[in-house]
Formats: sequence, C-alpha cells, structure tokens
Amino acid sequence: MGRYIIRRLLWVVFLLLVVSAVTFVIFYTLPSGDPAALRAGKSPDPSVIADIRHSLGLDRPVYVQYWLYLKQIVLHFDFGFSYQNSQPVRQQIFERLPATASLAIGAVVVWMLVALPIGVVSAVRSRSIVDRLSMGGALIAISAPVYWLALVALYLFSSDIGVIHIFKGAGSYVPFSDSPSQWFSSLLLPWLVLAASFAAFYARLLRSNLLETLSEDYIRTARAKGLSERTVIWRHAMRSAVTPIVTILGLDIGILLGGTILTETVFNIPGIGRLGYEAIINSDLSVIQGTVLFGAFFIVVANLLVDIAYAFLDPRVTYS
Amino acid sequence: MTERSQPKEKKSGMRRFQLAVIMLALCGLVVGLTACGSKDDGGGGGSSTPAKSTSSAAGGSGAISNGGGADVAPSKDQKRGGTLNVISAEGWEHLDPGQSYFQIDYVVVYATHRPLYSFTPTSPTKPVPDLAEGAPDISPDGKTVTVKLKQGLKWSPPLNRTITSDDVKYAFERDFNPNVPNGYATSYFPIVGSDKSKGGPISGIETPDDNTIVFHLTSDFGGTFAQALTLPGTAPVPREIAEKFDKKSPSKYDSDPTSQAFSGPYMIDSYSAGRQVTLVRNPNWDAKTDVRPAYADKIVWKAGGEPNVVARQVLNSPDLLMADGPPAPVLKTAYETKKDQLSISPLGSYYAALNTTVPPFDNVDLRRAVVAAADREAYLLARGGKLVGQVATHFIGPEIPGFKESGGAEGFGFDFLKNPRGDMAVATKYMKAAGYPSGKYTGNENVLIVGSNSDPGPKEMQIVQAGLEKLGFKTTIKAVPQQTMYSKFCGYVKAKVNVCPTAGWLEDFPDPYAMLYVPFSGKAIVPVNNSNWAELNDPAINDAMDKAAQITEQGPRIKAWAAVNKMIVAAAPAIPEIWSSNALVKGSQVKGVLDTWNDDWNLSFSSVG
Repeated sequence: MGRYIIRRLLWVVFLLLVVSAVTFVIFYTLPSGDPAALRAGKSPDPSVIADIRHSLGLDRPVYVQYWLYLKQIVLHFDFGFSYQNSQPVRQQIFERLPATASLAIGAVVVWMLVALPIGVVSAVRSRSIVDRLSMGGALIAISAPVYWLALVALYLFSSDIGVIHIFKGAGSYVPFSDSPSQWFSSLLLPWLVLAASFAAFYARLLRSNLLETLSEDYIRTARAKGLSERTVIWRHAMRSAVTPIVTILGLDIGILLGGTILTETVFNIPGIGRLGYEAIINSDLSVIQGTVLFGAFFIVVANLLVDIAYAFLDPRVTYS
Repeated sequence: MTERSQPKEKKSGMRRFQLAVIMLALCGLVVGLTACGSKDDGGGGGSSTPAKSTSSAAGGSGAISNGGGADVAPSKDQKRGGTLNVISAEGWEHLDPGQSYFQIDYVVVYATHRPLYSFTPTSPTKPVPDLAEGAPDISPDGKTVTVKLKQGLKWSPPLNRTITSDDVKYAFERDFNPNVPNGYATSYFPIVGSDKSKGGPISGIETPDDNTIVFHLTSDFGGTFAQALTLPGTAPVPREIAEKFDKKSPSKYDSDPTSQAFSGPYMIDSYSAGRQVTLVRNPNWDAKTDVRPAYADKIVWKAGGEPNVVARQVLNSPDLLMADGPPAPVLKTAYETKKDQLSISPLGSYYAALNTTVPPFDNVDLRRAVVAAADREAYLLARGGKLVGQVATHFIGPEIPGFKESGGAEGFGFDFLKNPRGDMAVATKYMKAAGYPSGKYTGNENVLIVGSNSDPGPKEMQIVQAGLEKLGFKTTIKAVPQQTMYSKFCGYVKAKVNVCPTAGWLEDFPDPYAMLYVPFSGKAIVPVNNSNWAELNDPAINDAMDKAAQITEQGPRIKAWAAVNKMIVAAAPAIPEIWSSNALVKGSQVKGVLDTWNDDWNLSFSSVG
C-alpha cells in the first residue's frame, strides 16, 4: 500500500506538471490579450508596452518564463500576481478557499443526506408511488441548471429580494471564524441549490446500483439464510452498491473544491470559483493558471483518496 | 481616452465567449488529465453584464435629460455621519492613483486622494482647484504650466507631514514608471524628459519651493494639459512610502492600498481584492480646504455577484448604492416601477469605424454613401432603445462641452446624416460621386467586418452589413470576443479590418480633446492598441486638432473643437451610431450624488440620507 501511495503521489506531481505546462502554453502563447498591452492603456507608445513587458518579464522566452514560474511555485509556493489588481495569486486563493470549502462540503453533506435515503427507498420500493415520485423529482432537479435554480431560489426565498423571506440572500456570506451561526444561515440556500442536482443524480445512481445488487446471487443467499431485510440491504447490498458512488463523490468533492463558479457568483460567495470566473472575464492569466492548478490538485488528490478508500470498502481490492 | 470605462464595455463583451471557451478548455484539460468526468456546478455560461451604458446629468449642454427620476444632485439637507453602503457586481482593478484607470476605481480614488484639480458634482465641466490653490498659470507659448499648491495640507496618519510639491512631482515620476503602468500619462502629460525617465526624475518638472510645481512641456499643449490635471495620476504620492514599493513589479503601493498615504477626506482602512473595501475618515483632512462635504463617517463597499441579483438587492434596499449599471431587465423594472431610484444620463458614444486606409473605404464619398445608407435607429434599438441613448449625428456627446456648438442633437446638417433611418437617394448620390455611376459598388474588394461576438455586437454587424449590401458591397463578418476585437483586429493596424461596427469611446474628462484626439488624430495611430480605428490621418484635421488643443480660453477652445468635429464628420471616418447613456440605481433612502463626468456616485458628496 505504501509503495502504491508513493507511486500515485509521483503521478500527482507529474499530472500537475503537465497541467501547468499546458495551461501555460495555452494562456501565454495564445493569449486573448497581451497583459503588457492591457496594462499600457489606449494608444500607448510601443516603447511603453515594451517597458511594461520587460518589467513583467514577458519579454523572455516562453520556456524561461515557465521555468521561472515553476521555480517560484516550488521554492516559494508563489503563483505570481494578478495582472488585474496586482494582488498575489496565492493570497487571493487562500483567502477564498474557506468560502469554497464551506460551500462544497456543506453541499456534499446535504446531498448525501438527501440522496442516500431516497436512493435506498426507491430501490427497495421499486416501481411504487414513492419511487416514481422520487425519481420524477430527481429528473426535474437534474434538469434544472444550477444558475437558473439559484436565481429562482433567491427570487422566491431570500430575505432581501425574495417573495417569501426565509433565507439570507446573496452577498450575506460570513466566514465561520466570524460567526458560526451566521455562516450557517448564510449558506443554507446555496447548499440546497448546489446540492439539488447532485442529490438527484446520486439518488438515481444509488437506486440503480442497489437494484442491480439486490438481484445478485449472494443477496438471494443472504435472504435464504434468514437474515433480516435490513441486514441484507445495509450490511450486504449497500456496501457493494455504494462503491461506484464513492468514486464519483471523491471526484465531485475535488472538482467543487476547485470552485463552484455559478453558485458562488449568483450568491456572491467570495470563493475560488468566483475568483476564476472574474479572472476569465478579465483575461487575468496568472489567476486563471493558479485556480486551474488548484482545481487540478484537488481532483488528483481526491482521485487518490478514492482509490485508497476502495481497499477499505471492497475487500477484493488490494494494492501492491 | 477611454481606458477607465471602456474596459467595462470590453469585459461585458467578452464575458460569455471567454467563459465558455476557457471553461471548456479547462474542463477538458483537468477532466481529461485526471480522468474525471463529472457534472460540476461550475461549467460555463453564467451571466454577462450588459454593456454598461453610461451617463451624466449635467454635462456640456445637457441635451438629454436624466431619464431616471432619482434626485442625484447635491442638496443642503443631506445628513452627516453614518455608514454609506455601496455594492457592485464588479470589483476594483487598481486603487493606486497612479494606476487607476477604471470607472469604479475612480470612485474610491477620488474619495481618498486629491488631484491637482477636480470635476465635482457642482462643477461637472469646469475643473476646480483641489490640491492646487488656484487656476494653473499657462505661459503664453503654452509650453510651461505652473501650479501653486494649497499650503498646510497634511497626509493621513501615520505619515502626518505636510504635502509638498515634491509629492506631486513624485506622482508624475511614477506615472511613467513601467512598474506602475499608467494608461494615459503618455497621451496627456507630454513633459520634457518623461519619455526617458522610466520612473526616475523628469527633467521637465521643477519644484522651486514646497508649494509650487512647474511643468515644461514638449509642445504648446498647456491648455489641454491643464484639463488633464484633473486625472488621478496628478494626486500627490509620498516618495518615502511609495518609492520602495515602486521599484518592484508590481508595485505593492497598488497591491496593498492600505499602505498608501491619503490626501483626501477618506482613508482605505481595509481592502480585500475584488471583495470589499472600507473607507474611514482621514483625521488630517481639512474640510475648509476642500469642496467635498464628506458626509459619511464610514463607507463600506462590497463587490462581486450576479448583476441582476445585485441590482435587485439595491432597488429593494433603503440604503445601498450600486456603483455599476443594472442589467437591462432590472433597468426596465426600475424605469417602470422605481424611477425615483434610477438615474440615467449620457456619457460616451458608439460608432462604426470605416478604415480610411484600406480600399474601398479610402474614398471619402464612398464612406459618406455608407453613412447615408446606415439605419442608425437600428443601432439604438440593438443596444436597447431610448433608455440607453439616442441616435448620434456627430462625435461630441451631450455631456461634453462642444455639443451645442456642434449643432446639438441635430448635428451639422450633412445630408448623409440627415435621416436616422438611412437615405438611399443620398447614398446613391455619393456612390456616383465616388465613381460608381450605377449607384452600386462594382469593385472587387470584399469588406471585412469585425465586431464583438457578444450582444449587441452580432446585431450591429448585421445592421452595417445590411447597409453595405444595399450598396452592392460583398461582405464578410467576423465575430470575436470584444477584447480580441480590439487587440487583434480593430486596434491592430496590420489587421487591415474594413469596418469595426462595435467600437465605443468614453472621454477621460469632459473636454472635446479627450473625445476626439485619440480616435481621430493621425498622430495618435499606433501599431498595437490603436484606438484610431478608422486610421483617419488627415493633415488638415491633425493640424486643426493641434491648434485647438493649444487654446486655453474655454469659449474659443470649444468653438475650435466643434470645428474639428465638423471636419471629422465631413470626412466620414465612421458611422455615428449612438450617444450612449448610463443607468445607476440606488436604495430608496440613501442620497446618491452623481459625478457626471465619471458617471458614477461621488462618495464624498453622497450621504446616508
């Protein structure tokens, strides 16, 4: 197991190198806007652009720029600075990470709390009214774009612009460290919105996995042995049915930690997703690159953790 | 020039495309490499802020009334004290007076720093002395400008010392420092030796004493230079604090604005990039030396969010000011139901540039024919109708001195601009004058139209295309992200684009020079980031501009620029589309006071009630 983890960690490093190289090539050699020209203003003398380019180190060969960029990251964990507002990228990402983590982890909790019982009940009571209603609702939730759902939720239920004043509205995010209760209340609506489609997807996935597992021979054997239905489902069927869900859950958490652009934007939650969104619309290359690298990091780490978790969930899986 | 506001247009224009393409690229990259394949919440799409239509109430001649019902003028019954709450969909770029070149940055910078002169809500077109004691002294040859500073003004804590002319001198030095890139210094500050200074001493600036600064200019530009002394790059900066930051790129004087020294009524107490800035009173600011009332004790500005949501929050609130414009649906709602919380006023213009150096539009009569055939009302409708502006007939907008002298909304009376719906008979006349007896274009050139791919760019391209095809031109449309449109096509001289129909221009200060020089002077043409999109290089117009720029007396100056405007319109380098308007919304109780020249709230004049 130890050797496997080391091998995977090396693979993580390699992947991040590739991601950084590709993003560097994409954004630095095929830029939608030259950072030096953007900073120089309108109708600048060419010498002004040249001076700014030199000042930013953009007049060096691309491979040198990339090497310096990597060196900065490895030696100083420095991701450069924003061309838009001159702020260090690392500082901006770390300032926003707690908000994104709060949103992502809270949404995961919500959707798992919703998806697990619905998935199980739908599978156990397959083709019943409960099943049909649940799966119908799930279909609607999956079909509703997060952006639309968030706006509708705000216009209906937020305390400032909603019809029924239940939840706190956009821009109300308060860090956990400032006030846990306000943190919780400000994130309730975003959690519900973000969790909606995930909960629906997971419920459907769990239902289909469980249905398939329940038709397996070993389940029939368990029942034949006289085990209670509860034991059969929770002890034997669920363990097998949940394995694919763990895979997807790990990746989803990784992706969400990289930023939930739409939810953060609509609810004005100052997270990494919104940072990335603003960087994209402003062609702020260094911030885009920083957020991409962080997103990739979370995904590959989540991938690794999922693989390790397999060994504990499924006794058939061993690593050498 | 426009950099401060134009990025708004650019940003709004490029949002959807870039978001979609880059997110697809990122997703492909990250997902592909890490074997992920999920349905993230952050996919792409999202909202695009509608192009910020711009504004101003008083302006030059006030030909367009404030379309909103909000009282945005200063009044005597404004309350002192309290916390002023501001909100915006967009965040700030640079809160450094040297780097600031963006509309909402100016809102903060003008509350915290004092330039030599200022336009204020009470004096929107005539600069008033701010840090300066009185009007600038311009030498008869227009090459030397002397400014006396008010005595005894102090820096904010912890610096606390008296502000001197050396602080202003250093501000100008850093304007030319590549580590503190300034978007307009090379255009408006032609100071002797500035081209070689690179942030060091500038030979053309003298400080004979602590309260006097003398600028020696490379040309007789004094009249215009005096107007440009209202820009934030003229606000003093203490050498002992900023110089060590300015030696590095980027300067930390910009990245950490709380480390700055402030001369204005407020200081930046806390700053979180793109999220929040808090201003508190500067205890060393002396109200007797300033026209700013500075009513609020504290100003809290939260940025970020979906523009529709932010605008609705403001309309439903008693106390919020929104510093950027509401999107079209909320604007419509505000106009219909909450007009007293809405301000609409003019600022800037849009036009379709016709490249005068590339056939077929190197022929002036052919350009006039194209202008005559254009349906300019369609451009207005494409941008959103009367709430966002009015059909233009020339290039000096209603908020700028010189509008009335240019014939106001009627314009100069050129026949090719008489009918806003287009006039094919006039167009045919000019086609014949251009050497096409049939009234239709029979040449071989294919007209390349490049515009923004975000709304209303595609519509505007289709409108210009329809006009051209009526005259027999073969056309090709290329829709690109707005920023790419400027950087790779319309603003890139080598690209040789024929028509740029989605170009916009906002003046840096309310003076015709700022509206006309860069977009239409041949001397302003540069290879990259070129803003003379028509590449108009008419020696007579260039000379007339240079002469008008030298005039210091307001009356003759405006007349001279109106004459320049007429020459430009006659040369038909562009189809004037609209003089745009900008909307702002505010809470029901808060007293928002508009800075018409910047078309945004003036925080030092606004109050909680």
